[in-house]
Amino acid sequence: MKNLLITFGLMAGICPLSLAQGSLDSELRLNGKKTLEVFSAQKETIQNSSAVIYRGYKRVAYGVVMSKNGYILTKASELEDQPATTSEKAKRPAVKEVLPLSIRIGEDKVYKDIKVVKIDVTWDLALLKVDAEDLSPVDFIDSSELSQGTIVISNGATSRSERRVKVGVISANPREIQGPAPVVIGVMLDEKKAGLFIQSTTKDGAADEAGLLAGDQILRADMKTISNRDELIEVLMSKQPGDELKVVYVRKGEEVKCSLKLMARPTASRSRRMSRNDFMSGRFSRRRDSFPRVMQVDIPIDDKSCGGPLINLSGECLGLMIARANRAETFVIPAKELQKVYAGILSQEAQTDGNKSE
Amino acid sequence: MMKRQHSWPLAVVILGFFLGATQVQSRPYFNDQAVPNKLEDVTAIELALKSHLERTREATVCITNGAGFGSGVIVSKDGLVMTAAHVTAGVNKKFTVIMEDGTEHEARSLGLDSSTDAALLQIIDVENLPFVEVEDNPESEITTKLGDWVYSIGHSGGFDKSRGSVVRLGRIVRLNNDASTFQSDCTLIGGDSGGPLFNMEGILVGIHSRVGKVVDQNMHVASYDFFKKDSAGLKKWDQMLDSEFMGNSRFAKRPRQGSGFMGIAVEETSEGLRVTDLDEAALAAKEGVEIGDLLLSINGDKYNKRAELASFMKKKAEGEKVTLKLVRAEETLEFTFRLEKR
Repeated sequence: MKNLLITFGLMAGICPLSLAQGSLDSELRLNGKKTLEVFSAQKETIQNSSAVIYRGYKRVAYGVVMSKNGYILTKASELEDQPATTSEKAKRPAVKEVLPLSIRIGEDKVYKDIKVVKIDVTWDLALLKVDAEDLSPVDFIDSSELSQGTIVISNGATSRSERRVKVGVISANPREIQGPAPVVIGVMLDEKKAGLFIQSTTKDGAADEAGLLAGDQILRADMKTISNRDELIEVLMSKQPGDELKVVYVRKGEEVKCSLKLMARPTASRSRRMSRNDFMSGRFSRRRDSFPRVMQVDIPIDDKSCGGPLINLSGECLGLMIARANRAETFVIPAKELQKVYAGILSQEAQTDGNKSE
Repeated sequence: MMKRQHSWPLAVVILGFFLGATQVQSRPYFNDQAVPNKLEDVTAIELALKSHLERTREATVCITNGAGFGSGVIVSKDGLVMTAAHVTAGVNKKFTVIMEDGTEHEARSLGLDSSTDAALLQIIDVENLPFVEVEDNPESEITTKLGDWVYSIGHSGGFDKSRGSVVRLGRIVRLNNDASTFQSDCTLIGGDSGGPLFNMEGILVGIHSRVGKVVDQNMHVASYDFFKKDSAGLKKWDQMLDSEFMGNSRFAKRPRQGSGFMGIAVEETSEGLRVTDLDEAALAAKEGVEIGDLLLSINGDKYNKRAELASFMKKKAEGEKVTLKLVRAEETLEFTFRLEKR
């Protein structure tokens, strides 16, 4: 016992002095291996209540286990078939195969039969379903009042059987992240003093299919009078792909009514122009804007580590890691909004199932 | 006998430990742990950060000249701001300072040290601003140590009112030999430059300087560096307050020689150079130089020919200090001011 005291005394007195210069071992840094050992209980939660989603052999995202019977929420745009990089193209020139999705949960549960129940483009969420009975869903807690500086945990790296964690803090105010509407009508617009005109239409786009032509003036969208681009975008912001948009347009002095079937904005068409900050941000999410509300954390993840749960030190789920925005900023859909989307999809599904069985 | 042998070294060690403990009295205990051992240690770090966050965030500002964005921290109630040299990039330049709530103030850059990336900025004509105190510690009392827990604040990527400034947690991961700069694993990005790094006692320990190649290594200039003395014994802080451009390194480019402007015209007379005309908008006129004044010396040197004065001005850059000695009605007058931009 006395020897122990001596050792402790020496360490407390001398250790900081001997460390006065040089470099802190990477294992002792905020997200170092040794630092993360203290989060063993949180790691357990991440191990059991997060899913690892693969396309082929590659991990593309994590997921949040929502129910015992296998509902999983994840980031939708990371499930899309990714465009091959140039080097990959060179390796596999002609083969264009879409590899199947698979999911791992816990140490050894593997699911190959995955149903994509619903994609919500507003939040970039996908609800998946696997055939399971005894999963450990996350426990949600209202995260809207959490103060900045609160320590939070998410998925870190993973092996086939073992999840690891990463740590950070809530780092900015919750807010809306603006961006382009999640749906498109397939036109180039021309804003004039006289109103909003179509400059050109995209072949096989929603407007083209509905018979709109270059030169037509858009007068109303869903009953709302349109005089500029922003007013049209505002109508589109609340729409999902497949929704109808009622349009009144003017051609050769006559008002014509038509109905457009909206399409999803392709993730690849989002602006790829890299800012200086993007260049120093490593791999960030392709979709990192147009979210109605997010929390912000400083956990350094990459684009393929989104979709999993964010938890507090008690293991309660605060939200879903929806985007790596840049080197300093990671976005999270708050628990409240996430539960709302989930409940909405489930009730829609129940309705559809009911209609089918009638 | 055995007992006695045992108790001596223990007594020494306990004494040593006690001294060590008093020396580091105000240091939070978790700074001296290799890593947090229990969740209570993590919570202690969280609580420390939260207890200082509001006050320190209020003093953190965004700095812009319209083209680019940086950050800074107010250190006096009348608006002295500490920031990075590569944010102001020069002396006596105009900036807008944006407070956390979106309020904008006019500001001008004071001096800088382009070799360590330290700079000061002054918000103009505003009183009672929120600020943090900065400590002028001699080198013997530098308290920042490797492994200390710290947090960074900054306007990452520029000002965003709905987001506010961004806070990040980390540790000191590298100390450099002269204690002027160090690194942390607080994730930084463009726009954070010039923003503050605080320790868990809420004390300003550094200013963000450079984003590292890897995410867990980012450079800060130590608060201590702002108060260092040069070989002549002059304090960097005082020289910066006096709008001095120090160093000649990558963080800020010195104005080129010949860019300085005095705003006086002279003619050669038998007594020496006499002022024949003044640019009314330039500093010489504003400081009180008048037409007819006889130029006795500049910075202590006598000039008799216009060509000599011209070659002197060719070597002078904007921002450099000049002292003119003049004779007016048998009275000797002295004016000291900084050259403006030609």
